[in-house]
This record gives sequence, C-alpha cells and structure tokens, in this order.
Amino acid sequence: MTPRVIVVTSGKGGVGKTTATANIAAALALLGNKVVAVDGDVGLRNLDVIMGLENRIVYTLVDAIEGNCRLNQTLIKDKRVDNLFMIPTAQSKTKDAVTSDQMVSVCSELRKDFDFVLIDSPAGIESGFRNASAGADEALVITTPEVSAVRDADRIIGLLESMEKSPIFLIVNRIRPQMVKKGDMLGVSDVLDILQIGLIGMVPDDENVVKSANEGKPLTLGDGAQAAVAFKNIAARITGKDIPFMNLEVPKKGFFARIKDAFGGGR
Amino acid sequence: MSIKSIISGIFGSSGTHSKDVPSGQTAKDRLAFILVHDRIDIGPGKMDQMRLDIIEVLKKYFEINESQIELKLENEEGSTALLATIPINSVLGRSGKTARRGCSSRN
Ligand SMILES: Nc1ncnc2c1ncn2[C@@H]1O[C@H](COP(=O)(O)OP(=O)(O)OP(=O)(O)O)[C@@H](O)[C@H]1O
Ligand SMILES: [Mg+2]
Repeated sequence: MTPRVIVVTSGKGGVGKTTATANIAAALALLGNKVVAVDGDVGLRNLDVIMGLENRIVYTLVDAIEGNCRLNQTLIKDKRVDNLFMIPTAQSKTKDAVTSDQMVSVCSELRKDFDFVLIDSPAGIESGFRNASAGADEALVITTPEVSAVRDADRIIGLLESMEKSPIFLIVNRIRPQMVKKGDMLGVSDVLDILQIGLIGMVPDDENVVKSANEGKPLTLGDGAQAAVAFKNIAARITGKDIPFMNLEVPKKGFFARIKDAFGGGR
Repeated sequence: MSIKSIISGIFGSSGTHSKDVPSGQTAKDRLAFILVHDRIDIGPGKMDQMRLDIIEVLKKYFEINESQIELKLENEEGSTALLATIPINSVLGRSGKTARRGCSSRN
C-alpha cells in the first residue's frame, strides 16, 4: 500500500483537531496499519498529552531538524497498541522552527516506514498551518456546527484546494443531537450544503472526550463511548471501507416517553 | 418546571415559541450570506458601492427606478453568480423625457 500523509486541520481553533488526530491515529493502528501521529503545532504542543505519552519524550521534531538527533530517535512507541507511534514537537520554539521544506522532507522520510502519517496542524491560515500541511497529500478539516467555525472551515478548504491537497474531507465534531432536533444547532446536512465538500464523519459532543483527555488515553483504545465509535468509523472510512453514518438523530419519542421526560424521568 | 412546560412537553408542541425561527436556521442563513461574500472577497459595503456604480452606468441608457433594482449574489454548486433585476421604465425610449436624458448623458 502506498503510504498516506494526512494533515488534520481547521480554520477556527479549539474545534477538536488534536482530539481527532489522536483518536483516528489509534483507530487506524487498531485496524492493523503502522501509524505515526506527528505534532505539527510547534510551540503549543498538545498531542503528547492527549495521547498520554508526554513522560516518554526525549527528542522532539525540532531536535531532529536542528540535527541534534536522527528522526527515528524522536519516535515514541505507544505501548497500548501495536504499530502506533508519535512524534512530539517542541514547546519552547516558535511556529517557524519547522519550515515547509523541512516538513516535506520529514514526511518523505516517514513514508518509508509507515502506512499512515497523521499531522496535527495548528488552526488558522498562517505559516504554522502552511508548514504543518506542506508534506501532506490529503487533508481532514474539522469544524463544529457553529457559524464562526464553518466560516473559517470554508477559508481553510479554499487554501487546501489551492495547495492541491486531495482528497479533502470534512469532520463535523461536537454535534448535540438534542439541539439539532430542536432546530437550535446547524445540522450536518446544513454544513454540507454550505461547504460543499465530502463528509467523512460526524462526532457527537461527548463528555468521555474530556475524560479521555484527562487520562491521556485516546477513546478509540477503549470502546463504548459514542465518540469512540464515531472516530473508529472515520478511521475505517479512511481505509476505504463503506461504513454507514451513525444515527445521531434523536429518536422520535412516543407519548409515554414524553410524559416521562416531562416529569424528569428521561435519561 | 412550570405546569405549562410540562404540558407542552407531553403534547410535543413547541408552545409559545412556534412562530420564532429556530436559531439553527438563522445560523444557516447567516452563514450562506457570509460565505457568499467571503468567497468573492467583496463585503456588503462594497456591494452597495458597486450598486451605485452600476446604476450610474445604466442611467446613461435607460430610465430606471433606483429603488427597484435588486442585486444579489447566489451560490450554486460551488460557483457564485451575481443576479441583477433591473426594471426599465420606458423600454422603447419613446417618451421625450427619456430621449432628452439619453442625449445629455452622452455629452
Ligand atoms: N466530541 C467532543 N466532545 C466533547 N468535547 C470535545 C469533543 N471534541 C473536542 N472536545 C474538547 O474541545 C477542546 C478542544 O479540543 P482539541 O484540543 O482537540 O482542539 P484543537 O482543534 O486541537 O485546538 P487548538 O486549535 O487549540 O489546537 C478540548 O477540551 C476537548 O476535550
Ligand atoms: Mg490542537
């Protein structure tokens, strides 16, 4: 299989790029792929913490680029699942410590050893984003169903297209089905209408995401949580499997269920 | 919880809010408008300016009613179009008034 280098990015910050990178990387590894997740957010590193690997860092990507070590010395192997690795970045440098050209050569070196290279990008349209995505062929754009996030996603999609990334897929994160049902949140179909881009996954707002971040254990390494299922489905779709979208609709309630709800008996 | 909201919960009505536009729809409408302008990089203010410019040009040729001119941007399948509706008052330019105007603006 030809190695695939995928940048995970967004226009607006804080919409779930790092969460998605960690969870999709772990899920791809569980599917039997050799995966490396690269922290491309120089100066604001987070991926190590979300993946729970922060205590094992010796060298960072910036060390490798500055010639203090070899690239393979920066690889941290995840002990919970075979074939999952992470490359941390430096916390004390600025975003231009890794240039676009350097990122391209890092990615081409990683292609030799991995099936998937996932790059966690900083938000926005500045050099940090450009550097992080320079070496990628494909892109996953994360948005939440909010006006500002979707607007910024549109901008990023335009930039990714001009950088000739393909395919570019959308993930709508933090969906609250109850609010969508009430008409108080943009639905996924609204977002797709507006952005006109392929959807690869929708992830519910799930408090388990916060818990897993607390523990430093990607949700997809366990099961049960709705968001874990959603991220696993995304990983499977990335590998070309045709997985139906999760039903995030709230089931239409019968009369008795509404009585129960009304008196506070619903879940 | 009020008795009223319990009852409206049971009967599934949206009660007093039924005539309000749900905020999700408002979000969608606002987004569509914002993105049309973002994508062509011309804000609503510039559009107004353009409207005035277009009217200036049209006035050389037609008698038009400025308040009836409608300019809007539409987005379909990834491409944007400027749609203009410009009612013309006297198509054939038969009235003396129109003719005179046409004359003076050519000078
Ligand atoms: N599906 C979800 N359900 C609940 N909380 C979520 C979900 N996705 C992300 N979050 C929370 O949102 C916050 C931001 O997530 P994350 O750090 O992954 O975003 P980011 O896009 O990487 O941010 P930044 O732009 O700062 O790098 C975190 O606190 C995370 O726990
Ligand atoms: Mg992040």
